[in-house]
Amino acid sequence: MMVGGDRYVMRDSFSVSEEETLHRQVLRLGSLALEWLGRFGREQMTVEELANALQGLGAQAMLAKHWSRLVEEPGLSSCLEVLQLLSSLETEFQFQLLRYGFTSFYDDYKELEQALARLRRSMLPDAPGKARFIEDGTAVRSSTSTVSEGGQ
Amino acid sequence: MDRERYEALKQKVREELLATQGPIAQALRGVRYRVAVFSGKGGVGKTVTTINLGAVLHQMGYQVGIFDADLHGPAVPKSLGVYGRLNVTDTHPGHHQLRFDPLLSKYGLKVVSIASIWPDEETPIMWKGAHKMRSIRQFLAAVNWGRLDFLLVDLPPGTGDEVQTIMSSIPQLSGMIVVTTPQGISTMVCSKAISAARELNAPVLGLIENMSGLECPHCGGEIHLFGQPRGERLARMMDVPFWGRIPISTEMGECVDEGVPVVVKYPQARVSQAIRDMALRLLESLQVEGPMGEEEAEEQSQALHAHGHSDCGCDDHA
Repeated sequence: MMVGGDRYVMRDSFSVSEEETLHRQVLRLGSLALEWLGRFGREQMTVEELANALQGLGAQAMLAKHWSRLVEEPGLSSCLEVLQLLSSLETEFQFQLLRYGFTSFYDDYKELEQALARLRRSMLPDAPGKARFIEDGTAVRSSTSTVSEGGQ
Repeated sequence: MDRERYEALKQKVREELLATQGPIAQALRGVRYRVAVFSGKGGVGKTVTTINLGAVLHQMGYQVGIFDADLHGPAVPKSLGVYGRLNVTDTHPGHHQLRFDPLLSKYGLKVVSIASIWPDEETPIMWKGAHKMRSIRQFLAAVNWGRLDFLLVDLPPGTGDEVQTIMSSIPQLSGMIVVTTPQGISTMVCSKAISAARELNAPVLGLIENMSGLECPHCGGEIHLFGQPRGERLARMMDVPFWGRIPISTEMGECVDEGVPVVVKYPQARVSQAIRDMALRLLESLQVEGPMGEEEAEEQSQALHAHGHSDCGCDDHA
């Protein structure tokens, strides 16, 4: 069943629970990284510890693993945003440190904090682009919370 | 040796190692010439110039890739009618590595753009500061460009951090092409851009004046919509080779909307002839003798194959 007239409403090949699992995994990784960046900012963590911690996060592998879904599904754009930020920190940590210095990680803290807030909002039941089940169990995605679930 | 000198030396060695063996250097090892197209000002036609130069070079038998480095206004895919998404390639099953094969346009150009990883056109890319620079570098290093004669990099406008990061991140950058328009404001900003390129030790290969005069469809006379041409004077003033003028043409606008290079759709048009002349100037300035030969291609291919099995870092292929 397709709800007509809205390009974000589409039949999904994966289930809602799969999407929620991915959201939760990304949220967990992002929250960990945010905590580390915060501790680094408060000088409770050294630069080496931060680099090792970020590299051990596995954000790049996760991004690569779920790539096709992340770039195809508008409802997962918040996950893509967080994973992209974390994976670039993972691979280009040294570049950032050499070029911009220690204080530049504060910008990443703020950006990650905002991205995680967007990710949390996207997990709310009626969030735009959020996948959910309709009558026959098919996952649909809406661009606004006002799209009727019954469709046509 | 005092601490300061030791640190400086260590930094120099590290930079040299990164330039030859870093991930970006590895990703670009199959690319013979790396050329960036830039301008001081936005809206002067860098993208259109880049894709048409690329298309002409491809028509001449060269393998060409285009890297769209404009994160906030990526336009290369649309201008070439490329609408697909970049897919992560599986190097070895079970290993999740962020590596992409470029998209291939109908006109034979390999294309990589940030627009090809974003799920929808409406959501803007809001990356800030150092995050943008990291992403550009991460993206550059993650592409399997394969064997290329030319990699053309379509830079964002200005001389800001993104442009500087790209200029300093691409090892052995062959040179830069500067695009301007006849407007006084554009030539003024362009002179700053040329100075910035020099500051960063990037050779400026040539200057192109785009949107230079419109041929009147009734009398054939030239109308200077953006004022009298100033590009040649700027080139003389900055001691940069002047490669010529690309006229305004209705064909160009139509082709951009259709996603076709004008040199492909209207090869006989004045605008196409001008771009072909510029491609010849590019080959001349880099002293390119011809497309990569079979033997050279084979060597490159073997080197790339070997690279593909060694950069994973896993024990299985060590």
